[in-house]
Amino acid sequence: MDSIPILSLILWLPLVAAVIVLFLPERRAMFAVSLAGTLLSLVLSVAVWVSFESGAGMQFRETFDWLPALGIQYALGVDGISLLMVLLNTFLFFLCIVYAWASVHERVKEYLFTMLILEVGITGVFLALDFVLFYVFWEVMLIPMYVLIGVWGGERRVYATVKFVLYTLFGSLLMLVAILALYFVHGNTTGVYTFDILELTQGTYGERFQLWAFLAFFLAFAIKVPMIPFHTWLPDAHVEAPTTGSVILAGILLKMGGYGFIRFSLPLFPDASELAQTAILVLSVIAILYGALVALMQTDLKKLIAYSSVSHMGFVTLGIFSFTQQGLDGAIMQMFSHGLVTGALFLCVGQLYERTHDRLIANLGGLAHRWPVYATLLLFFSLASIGLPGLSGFVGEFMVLLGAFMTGTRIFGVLAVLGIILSAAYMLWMYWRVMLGTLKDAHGRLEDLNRLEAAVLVALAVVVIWAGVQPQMFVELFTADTSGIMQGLAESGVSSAVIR
Amino acid sequence: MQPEDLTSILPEIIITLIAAAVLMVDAFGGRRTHRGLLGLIVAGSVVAILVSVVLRADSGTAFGGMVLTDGYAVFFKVLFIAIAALSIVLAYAQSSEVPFAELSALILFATVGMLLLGATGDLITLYLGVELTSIPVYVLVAIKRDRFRATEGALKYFLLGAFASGVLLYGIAWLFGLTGTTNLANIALYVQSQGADNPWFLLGLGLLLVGLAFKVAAVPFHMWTPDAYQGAPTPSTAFLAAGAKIGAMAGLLRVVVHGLEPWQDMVMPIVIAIAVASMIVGNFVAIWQQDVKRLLAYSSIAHTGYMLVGIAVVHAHSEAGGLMRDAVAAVMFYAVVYALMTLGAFAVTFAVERRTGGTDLENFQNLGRSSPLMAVAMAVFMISLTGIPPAAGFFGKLYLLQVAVNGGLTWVAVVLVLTSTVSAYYYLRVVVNMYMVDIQPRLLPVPASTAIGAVVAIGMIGTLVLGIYPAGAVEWAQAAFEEAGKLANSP
Repeated sequence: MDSIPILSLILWLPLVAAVIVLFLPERRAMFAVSLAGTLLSLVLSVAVWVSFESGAGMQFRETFDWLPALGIQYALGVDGISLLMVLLNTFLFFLCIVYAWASVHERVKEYLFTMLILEVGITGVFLALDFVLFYVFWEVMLIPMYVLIGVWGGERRVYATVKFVLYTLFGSLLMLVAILALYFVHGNTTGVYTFDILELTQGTYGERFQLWAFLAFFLAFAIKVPMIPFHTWLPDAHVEAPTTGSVILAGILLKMGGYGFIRFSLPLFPDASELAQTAILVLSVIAILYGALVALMQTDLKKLIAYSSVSHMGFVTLGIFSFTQQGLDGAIMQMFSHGLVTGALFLCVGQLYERTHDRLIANLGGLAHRWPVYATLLLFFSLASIGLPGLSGFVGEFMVLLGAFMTGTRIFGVLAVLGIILSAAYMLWMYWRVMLGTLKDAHGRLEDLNRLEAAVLVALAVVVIWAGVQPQMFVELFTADTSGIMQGLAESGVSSAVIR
Repeated sequence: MQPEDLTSILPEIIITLIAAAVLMVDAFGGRRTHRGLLGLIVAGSVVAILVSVVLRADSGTAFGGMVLTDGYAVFFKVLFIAIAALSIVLAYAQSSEVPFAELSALILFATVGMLLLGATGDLITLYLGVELTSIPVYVLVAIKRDRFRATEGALKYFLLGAFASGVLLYGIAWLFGLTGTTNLANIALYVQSQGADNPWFLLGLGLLLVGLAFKVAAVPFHMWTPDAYQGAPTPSTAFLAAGAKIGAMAGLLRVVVHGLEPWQDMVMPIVIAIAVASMIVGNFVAIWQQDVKRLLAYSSIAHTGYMLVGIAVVHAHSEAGGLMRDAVAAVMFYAVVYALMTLGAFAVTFAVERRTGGTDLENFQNLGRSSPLMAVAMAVFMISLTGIPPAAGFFGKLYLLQVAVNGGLTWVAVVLVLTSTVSAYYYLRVVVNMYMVDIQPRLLPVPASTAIGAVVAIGMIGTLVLGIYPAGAVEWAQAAFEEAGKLANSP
């Protein structure tokens, strides 16, 4: 197994498929190649999972010199945290391509090319073990997302997509300066000049430097998550993005922010993280409550789910900055679950929109009578989003709340619980208004989901149940890695107590 | 003068001979010879590049230290000759509208000046190079003399440019008067032994830097740029932006590396101020431009600012070591990347201009449908100019940022990245117009001129290759500097 560069295959297979797609004339052939590429990536990442040893640190590593003159390497590897993200990523991309088979008919070649490049960029972010390589993938993924929203998006797509790019670029370019500063600060103290992430995260840095660098990284990740008040690009991007764009955006792109906090902010800048803890916890709780309240008031289905994302991602940052094992594990489970559930919800909205050409809740109603399959699946994912026990959402939120209460300042946990109650309110109210009641005349003849569409949602539902009933299978993947991070924090004298 | 001196300027001689031959053939043969002339120029350029590289073996000084033939000079010779050849290929596409032979000859003469700038070891050679570059370029801007914009741009450029040359010469005179020499290395030695506390040094130095800042189009000496860029025929603009600017940059870098080390405390703040001003003004003013040529003009001012950041840290102290080498190599690498993407962007603009008759942003609408390949290429150039991977512009900026942070100028690096974010806005506007605007589709493809297509293809392939595998070019730039560094210590 060691001789096969399996991570490189997972990473680059979609690119190979993308290049082949460029030269194919026929829609069917283009989809066949894209499906094969994404499916192979998925299968290989499952294979990595099967032979993965949890607790053994970074595995399946590959290292080559890329730009030795500047100390830049092509270095890949996975631990439990990144593996879970890669699995989520390859799974969602495969489903998105399947979904697109039924729904995308315009500029198919360009669409598939863009999606496949996007997959390369996002997978690379989770696999990279060199800071510059990480940064390259972090930015590479901007362009296809920009194109996806800008070309296949709705009416105000240009505004939304430019806003998305400018926001993201602003945050990430400052991070680039911080990465370079890190390179020199580490080099000047240890004599080893390297962009190696593992090496750099083992170093210790002065408090003043930590603070500045933490701020730069924080901006990049907070914009991605997005944390309030950096979230304003998200509703615009979601509303204008095509369905699959929304799925990827909510399902994986937002996770890059949380992943960044866990992988970089905590190990690199423990003292600065401790200083920022209270502020970030406050922002997280605001995000949970504000996102939920705004979602409650939305008239547009996509906006509702977009704001529910803000609320759910608040749990992620709450868990991470509780500095407890439970909180950190919960945050990762919440990211995984949110990726599945919100991805599925955006697919549902997309299917609804394709049939009714309407996303305004007021114009819908009574659809459950006509669409029993759709109604069942939407209800299932709505409940999963609320955090029904036995489904994936519950695990993450419960663990995060546990972590929040363990910080000793209960108010964060208490307020966050309110967010869950609010989520029940907006999801169920939405379901009631859209699916129950009287059917609008215009919607009388619309067809229920076809088999392909249903299959995509069922596949997601299976994993949602699996993660809800057997969370241990997923948690034990990464819990050794998170306890390593916790240990690093403890060694730097960081405790979970908010008030010291 | 030794006979060897002549072999050391063989590339310059070859280019001059080609230019002369082009003029003669055209005088007797007329328009029918254009295709043959193009072949002659391209072949001659390849020979000149090969000669430059081969001469690398006997690197040293010539003409008593006035001309240097080190790796640095070779690096820029290869770059400049390539830029000239590509610009001429581009101009070939409009050979029926402009006097192609004169235009090619002018570009070649200007190139000789640029070659001298890269090889300069003396302030006199510097001045010669600057003038030899500038005068043909004034004419290049005005070559469509019946066009109002062309004459206006050329006149502004000429008046301000002549003034800047005067200022440059005055600065050189001051430095000569104070040190008794015009040789860069000797000036540095003189100041090291005698001290630089004479306030008149500052005057001479300031005048010298002002003159060069004008030639590289840095703020606040950039006023001529948008008018000259917009007024000139697009192939001339491409040469002006990619060639003349980098030529002056090569000269400036040479002066800073070899001559100004003792004055680093004075030079650094000046260069930093100019760099920061260029990045801010260039990027912010570009936002308001409707004409793509003007937009690229302001963006080129911003890129001057980026390169000046590298020049500013040439003498900075660093714990990591090797900073001077890295700073020079970063500017050199950026010059290559900048030349590729600028030539490419102007080539696409030229193609659009020939089809739609204008270079406004509106003229780019729906290019994604009507000419997919041109549009993809333009998108790559815009992404590269913004500095987003996997295009070469990213590594160019990364290297500059790295030396800036290494040299303790983190705040300048922050200015660089913040203004880059601003630049994303206007570069993306071009992409938005090509792909994301719903109008009656202009389905007329832009004419598939082989000449333009070749330049676009070379620009795009170069941009992507350097973006994915930059190691070779970076190492070459670093090695080129090592040789130049040796020379500086043994005048």
